[in-house]
Amino acid sequence: MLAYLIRRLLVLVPVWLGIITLTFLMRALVPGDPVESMFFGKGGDPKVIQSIRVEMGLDRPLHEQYFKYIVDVSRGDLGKSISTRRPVIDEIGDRYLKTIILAFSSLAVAVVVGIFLGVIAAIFKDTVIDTAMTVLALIGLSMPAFWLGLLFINLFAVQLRWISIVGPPDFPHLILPSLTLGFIYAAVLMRLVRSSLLEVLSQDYIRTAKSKGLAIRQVLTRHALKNALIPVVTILGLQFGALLGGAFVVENVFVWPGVGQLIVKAISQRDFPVIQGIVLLVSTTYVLVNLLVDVLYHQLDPRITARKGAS
Amino acid sequence: MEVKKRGKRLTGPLSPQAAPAKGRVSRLFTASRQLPVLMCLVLMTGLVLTACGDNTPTTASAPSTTQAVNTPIQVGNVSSFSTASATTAAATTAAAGAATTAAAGAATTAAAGAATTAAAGAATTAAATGAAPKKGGVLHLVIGEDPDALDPAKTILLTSDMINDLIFDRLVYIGSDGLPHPWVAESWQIGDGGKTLTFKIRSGLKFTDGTVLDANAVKFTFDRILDPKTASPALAQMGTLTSVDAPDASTAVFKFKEAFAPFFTNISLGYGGIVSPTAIGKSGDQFSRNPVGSGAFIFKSWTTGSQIVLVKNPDYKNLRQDDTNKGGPAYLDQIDFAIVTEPGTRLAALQQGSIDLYSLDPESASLIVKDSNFNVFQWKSATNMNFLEFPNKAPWTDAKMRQVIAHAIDKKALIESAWGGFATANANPMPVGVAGWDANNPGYSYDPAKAKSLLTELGYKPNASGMMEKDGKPVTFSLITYSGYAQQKRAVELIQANLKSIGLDVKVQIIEFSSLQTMLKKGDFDLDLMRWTWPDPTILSLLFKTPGWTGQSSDPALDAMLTKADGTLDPAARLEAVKAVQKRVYEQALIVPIATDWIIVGAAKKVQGFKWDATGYSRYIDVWFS
Repeated sequence: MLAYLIRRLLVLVPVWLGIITLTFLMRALVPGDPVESMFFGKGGDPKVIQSIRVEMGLDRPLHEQYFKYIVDVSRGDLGKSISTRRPVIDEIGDRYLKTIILAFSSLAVAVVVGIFLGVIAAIFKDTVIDTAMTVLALIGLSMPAFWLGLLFINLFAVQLRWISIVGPPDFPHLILPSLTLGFIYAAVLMRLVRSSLLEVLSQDYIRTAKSKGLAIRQVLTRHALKNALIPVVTILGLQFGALLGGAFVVENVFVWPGVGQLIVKAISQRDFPVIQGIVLLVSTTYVLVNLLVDVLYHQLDPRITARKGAS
Repeated sequence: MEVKKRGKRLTGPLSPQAAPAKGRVSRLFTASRQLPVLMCLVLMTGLVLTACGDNTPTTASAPSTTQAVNTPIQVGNVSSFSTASATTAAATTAAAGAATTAAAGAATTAAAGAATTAAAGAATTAAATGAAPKKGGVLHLVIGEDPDALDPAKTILLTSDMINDLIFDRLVYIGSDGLPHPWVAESWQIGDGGKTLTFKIRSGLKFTDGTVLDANAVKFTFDRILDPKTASPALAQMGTLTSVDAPDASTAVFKFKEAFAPFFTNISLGYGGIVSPTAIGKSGDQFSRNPVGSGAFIFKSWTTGSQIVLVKNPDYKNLRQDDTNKGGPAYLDQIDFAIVTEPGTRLAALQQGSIDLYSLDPESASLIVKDSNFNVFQWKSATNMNFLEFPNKAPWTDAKMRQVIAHAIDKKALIESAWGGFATANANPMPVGVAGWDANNPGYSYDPAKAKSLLTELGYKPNASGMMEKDGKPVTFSLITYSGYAQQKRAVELIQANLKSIGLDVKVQIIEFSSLQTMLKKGDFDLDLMRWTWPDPTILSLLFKTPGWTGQSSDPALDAMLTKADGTLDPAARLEAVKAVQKRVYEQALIVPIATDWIIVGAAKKVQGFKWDATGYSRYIDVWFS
């Protein structure tokens, strides 16, 4: 197990290299220059523009910047923001933690709501309840996060006045963004849980369990659900990247000071060090979450780990 | 036949004749794939309606205060100016401006006036002018992003500038007469043909860290901007300034390579904020997160991505004469800036009451104007302009071709559809609120027939479908603008239709701003819809002086005229020079000016005394709660 974990963690190195290479390629391909962007139309002094370029190392050829960046990152230095000239690590600060908190609380909402409604839909297959669940899932799947967020704000904050829109990033201010994002991902999960559970419920061992005279609740919890959740866990891991992306959008709608606000601004300003820093963090998180998912497999289905261990 | 078919398909499954009721319902809930979609639509519509329900009450009365809607800026209020008088104010009141300047340098002040911004809308609430202001309270404001640096030397970002304005006082402010007035500087004298400016600094001034604000602090502030090590984005605003000396504690001498008329406006903006040398010595690079000035408000805290808090400077003595609150500190105890990136959320926060003031886009303005819970303030003679610009390539190098576009644009329709009526048509290549703007120029009339005949003169011929061709080949032009603004999007769509009506095929591209910059610099476009804000006539130099802001300008004759305008310190003479430039730009149709959009602010009813100064800063020192 330990060797497996180490091997998986080592995968991070090529991932980082790949990310850095891709973001540098993006720098070469995407139009727009960060320093010119800062001064465009504001009468920047050429000497100032040049000295900022030198300070940021932007005067050097891209391949030199690329290798320097790799060396810097290996030392734990993510560089400096071009627009604020502060270290990227300070710019990100505790913003990333806020994004992770939002992503996990949304995930919690999605898992609880998604599994619960998915099971209900599977049990009441082809009934009005099932159709109602389908409707909810359709809404969740088709509604953009920012739009649902604005509707929630209008309903809960403006009309009902249950919550203040502006305020510190505390628990009350986490509720609406988590519900928004959680609801959307619950829709995906719900459909998956439903179909996965229905498939499991048609297996022979379930028929056996039923014929033993077990109550339906016991059949579901002891036999069906655990097996039905294996594909769900896979999707959870794969969807986590999308969930982080969704968090970026939702943070901007709700006043949640995560990294989403920062990356949107950094992209529009072509603040490459900030973009690269955030992308590196996000990709690392993604790899780690998927590692966690693989470990969870082991708990749910030892056969999978055994196969992996043998390979 | 087709109609019947369509009708059958639509009504079939739901028709009472198609199946007995019970069976129909069960089939609908079990088998039909359309039903979830239908229910989905109904539910979503319900959600939307529930959420939006009360926003547009049919019974809503018009706002009870009158400073807003469709009226000229109020006459009779303390500081209100009409657009027409604004444009001539700077020229005609130059002498008066000199007379009102208290100091010894009065005569030279007028010369230094340099015809800057003409009158801004200084509309105040009716209540504010009548009742005695109350002290106390926290004003909740909103900004769309974190500032980059709360340090005048380290930023040119508007968001930062707006907060720096409250923390740092400047040497001068620009009054509604378009002239500089004493602030931290008590007076000034111009020498050496405009190459030397000697400011007398008031005595007894202190920064909020308790240290003394004197000429040495002024020298320190400007030396820091001039120092290449600072790499100050504000350096360009200093123009030809070469050095600053402080021969004694109350005298600061500014030396210039050439006379530089926009200097007064530039140092009256946030860039000219006087910083505490002691605080910079202590904080170093962290000063931009711990700013210390001598302004009406003191920086208290900055929670990244969330909030910035300023508190009242209790010892502040307001030296500006354009405020109602003269001599004293601010009425408010505190100003909180919430950082909210999404415009929809900002509007919701205003509606909810968690923010007190919010600058509105045309859509939100239409909504808030109808809502009797809010006051609306409008600054109609604002210092922005929306215009179409051209690349430095054929066929746009021909003035006649540019005039075709000028005659083809229906500005009135554009203002109604793109800006919801919240804009003033502009015939001149300058913002309506900037001194020198020519109220008498009727501009190029909206005249599609004339545009077509000019096209014919240029060798364009309509083909069978009425679209123009040149040398037997169809022509297609690209019209670009930046993304993120609904009004820009609506405007380009209408411009496209305008040009289609004269037979020009135009493809619209709406592009993210950083990418747009590259296209502009390359000249990779035919028409660009742009918006600029600048409070001084030097906007003409910023736009057109070779190579121009997009690298698309080259007119040596115009350059000479611009150099003259920027180097003339006498306000009346400067205005004449500015008008000459304006005339040339207009005749050459270097750009097609469209409109100055109004700055509109929605405010909670309790907010009193709100106004803008001549350069567009909100004067929160005058604000109080009823």
